[in-house]
Amino acid sequence: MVSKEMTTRDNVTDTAGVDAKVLADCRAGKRGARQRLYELSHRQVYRLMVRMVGLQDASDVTQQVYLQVYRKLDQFAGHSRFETWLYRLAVNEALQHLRKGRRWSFQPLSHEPISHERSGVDRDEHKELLRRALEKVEPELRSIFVLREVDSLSYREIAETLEIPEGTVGSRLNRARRELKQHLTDLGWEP
Amino acid sequence: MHCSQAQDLLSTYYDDELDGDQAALVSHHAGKCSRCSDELASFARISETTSSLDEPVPPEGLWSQVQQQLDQQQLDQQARGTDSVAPSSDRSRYASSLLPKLTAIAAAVIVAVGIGLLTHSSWSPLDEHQQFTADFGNYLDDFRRDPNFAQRRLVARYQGKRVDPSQAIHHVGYRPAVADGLPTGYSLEATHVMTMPCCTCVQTICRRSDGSLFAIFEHDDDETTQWFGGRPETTTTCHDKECCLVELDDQIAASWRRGTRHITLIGVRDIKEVSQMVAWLDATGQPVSN
Repeated sequence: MVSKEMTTRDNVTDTAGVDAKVLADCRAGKRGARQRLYELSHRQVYRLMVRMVGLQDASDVTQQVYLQVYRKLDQFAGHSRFETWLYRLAVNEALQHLRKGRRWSFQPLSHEPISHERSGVDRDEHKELLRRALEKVEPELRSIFVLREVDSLSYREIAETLEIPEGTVGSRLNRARRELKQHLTDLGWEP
Repeated sequence: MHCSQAQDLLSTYYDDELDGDQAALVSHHAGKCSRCSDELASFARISETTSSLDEPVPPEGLWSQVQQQLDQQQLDQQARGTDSVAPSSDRSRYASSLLPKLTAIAAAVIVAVGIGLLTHSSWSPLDEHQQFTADFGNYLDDFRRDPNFAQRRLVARYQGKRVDPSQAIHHVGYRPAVADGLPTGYSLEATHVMTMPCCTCVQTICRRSDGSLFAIFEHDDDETTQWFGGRPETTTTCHDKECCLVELDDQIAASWRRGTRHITLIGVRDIKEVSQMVAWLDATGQPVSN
């Protein structure tokens, strides 16, 4: 049986430096504070965007996230952690971007499928297959998987971020992992 | 514990989010069930590969691009603030409401200056156009979640007066587009005349056959940025009309020119519905001022 501790990652957050003063100065429109907030948080936001919308669109969507952050900062009442609010905004922006792409443009198949008979794929190939399989996972499920597996959020934090009951996080993660596993199997790697 | 019960709890167990008793039951079950232990092993392999993905590096010029867009937004807002002359046909209405507006603005400035002095902060009050943009930002968010709540709030905020569509001409000087009815499958729920900073507009709430709602605004102002709450826009063609669009999760806001005025839709479902409304309102003829 696999040890759970094997895969637990440290939940280290850069956004811890975003304090009340930075937020107040941002609300006052101070350029330095806005840049500071960006510097403290953009790596996490960009990483989330790469996993959610792909490398090609990650910069554009990250830009949109920050325009929204500065526009909506007055609405952040401090009832939750800033990081949770930021993740919520970022996930919503990513989902909006993905829906827009689905509705307004044709997205061509960008990868050739790998033969199911292939075996012995190495670690780098597993990573590439994972990236490709993740693109195929339904976006809402993808977001919950990324928040857990990439950003190491707890179930309570995921529930707050996505504004869903904490009790549903586990079942959605089940669905996300099983869907991802199916896509991986289809691509030629049965994890 | 049955296998199906354990299967439902596998992720929660795997993520160490299950309480001790249940975790012990799942652990005991997985120890003798190959299906569950195989699935846990696959979860672990997926986690291991996910954690080994290369950390993406944000492009260096990203902040400059964000800053550039923020500066542009600020310039746009400033430009709007100095370019808000009412159309000549509306001047008499504006003249009659100028005094109370000026009084209200003066009061707001006095309060704002007072607060600023008290707090020694660099906070500055929003002008009425910035406030309008902020209000519509909230309206778009609220409408998606609860259209009735959004509507009540907007009516209260902008002195909405419920009117019969055919009688709106007495308030705005033109016969509104919806006065000739709506396409099949839609019904008119309510029409209000609202006094916005830009203009007095006619707003109609429409109900689809499935009971859901969307809003139609007819207005003189062409600043879609304000009507879209400052959100980034996309331009596309809907039924041969150039439309500005904003995505709102599963809804769209859209705006286009119709004659000398603009139509803005909030809460429409997709491009197809926008095109349908453009076609319908085009077919009802171009607006004629009174």
